[in-house]
Amino acid sequence: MNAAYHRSPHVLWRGSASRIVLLGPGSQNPLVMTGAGAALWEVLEQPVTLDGAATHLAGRYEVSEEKVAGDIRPLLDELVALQVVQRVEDQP
Amino acid sequence: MTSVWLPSVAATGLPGSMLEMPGHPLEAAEWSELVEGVIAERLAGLLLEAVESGSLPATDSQRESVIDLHVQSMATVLLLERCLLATVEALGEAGIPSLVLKGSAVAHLDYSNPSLRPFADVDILVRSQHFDMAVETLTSLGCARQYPEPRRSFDRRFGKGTSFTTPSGLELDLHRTFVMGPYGLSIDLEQLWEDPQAFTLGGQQLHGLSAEKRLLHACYHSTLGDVPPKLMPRRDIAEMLLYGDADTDRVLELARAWRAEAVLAHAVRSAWQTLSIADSLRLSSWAATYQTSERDQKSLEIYLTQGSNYTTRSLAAISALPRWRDRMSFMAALAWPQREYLDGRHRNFAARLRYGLTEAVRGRATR
Repeated sequence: MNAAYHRSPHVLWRGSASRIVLLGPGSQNPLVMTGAGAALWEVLEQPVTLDGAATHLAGRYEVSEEKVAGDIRPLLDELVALQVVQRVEDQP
Repeated sequence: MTSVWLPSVAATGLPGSMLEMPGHPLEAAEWSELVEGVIAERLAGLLLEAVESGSLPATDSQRESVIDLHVQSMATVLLLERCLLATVEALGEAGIPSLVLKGSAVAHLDYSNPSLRPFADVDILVRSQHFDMAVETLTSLGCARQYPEPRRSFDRRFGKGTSFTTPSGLELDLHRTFVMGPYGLSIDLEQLWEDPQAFTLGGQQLHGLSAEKRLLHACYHSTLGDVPPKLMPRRDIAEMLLYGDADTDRVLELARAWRAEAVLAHAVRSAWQTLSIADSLRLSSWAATYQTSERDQKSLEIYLTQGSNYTTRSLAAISALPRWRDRMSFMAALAWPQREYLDGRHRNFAARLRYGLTEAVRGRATR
């Protein structure tokens, strides 16, 4: 069983080349994501698994997929907790 | 002093603009002057675009400061949009239809990237007959009205709208028309509600004006809003005309019906001149040759004159009211307003009349 992640439709956000500013539902504290975090936000436009996101970012930053997966897992968990990203179970 | 580079920043990315950027990073003092102007004009998105695209050369620290400035302005915008969503929802639950004006609607409907278009308040349009109920709804949400109306139902009948401060300190403007004074009273308000354009924000569907009416609103805002006029509304006009899909015939038809051709012509001419746009469009050619009547010239001066205020615009509005009964009600409300309206203002009729006449004379003298 593989979970997929995607942007919550309820999140408000703005992006520039290197920064993403986010405001989760019910929150009054905007978050700022830079660098690889901003790149991850781009990937999350469509539902993507952890491995899928890692593959995408690994190619972009020329780092191993395992390393990227280890780095983005806690970030994805945090974004889910902040309700700016949704996690959908049972992806094929 | 105002930075000479501000119009160039406002024109960033417009293909027809002939404005130039400096060939090298600005010295510290000049840079500070530019940033100060960018903050006042809300051009942080376009400044970042200019720096990121390389059209405005910048040092690393200047680039970092622009990124920080843009992040701050986007954080404010998101808080305003959260407020917008909550307000539209509350109005909807109270049975009050609403349309989103200016900032958020223009950013999402007229710009390829809404990050280019910061804004500083929430603007919502409601119908005149719902205005008082909308005020009650906003008050029940904890919003504090910034200025009381002169008399009950004055705003609903004659005003542009009213401003609120939300519990979190944001500004929320509730409109029933575009501007106060004669040009606001000649708009067919029911037409504003025809053909609204939808956009999605935070998973919620909102509606703005149609493309033609957004363009006209930008023109009213540009010509009749601030003295001196701001750059962002002029950029909006250029953006809408160069990239948007407003039907020129329909725009002209509405401007004629609302007796606002002079406003449209002035705004388009001003946008084309300030941003030095070489491209000639049908509407820019029309604006360049439009002959403003003497009557319109006088009306425009009320808005364009430095120091012109609520009183002068109110006095000018009287002649735009078609019925004598309305004129009498209008004058009576301003002459004998309710006590709350007087708090912190001129305490008696004579003082108000003196102030009004002084303002009117000053307005004439500066023409």
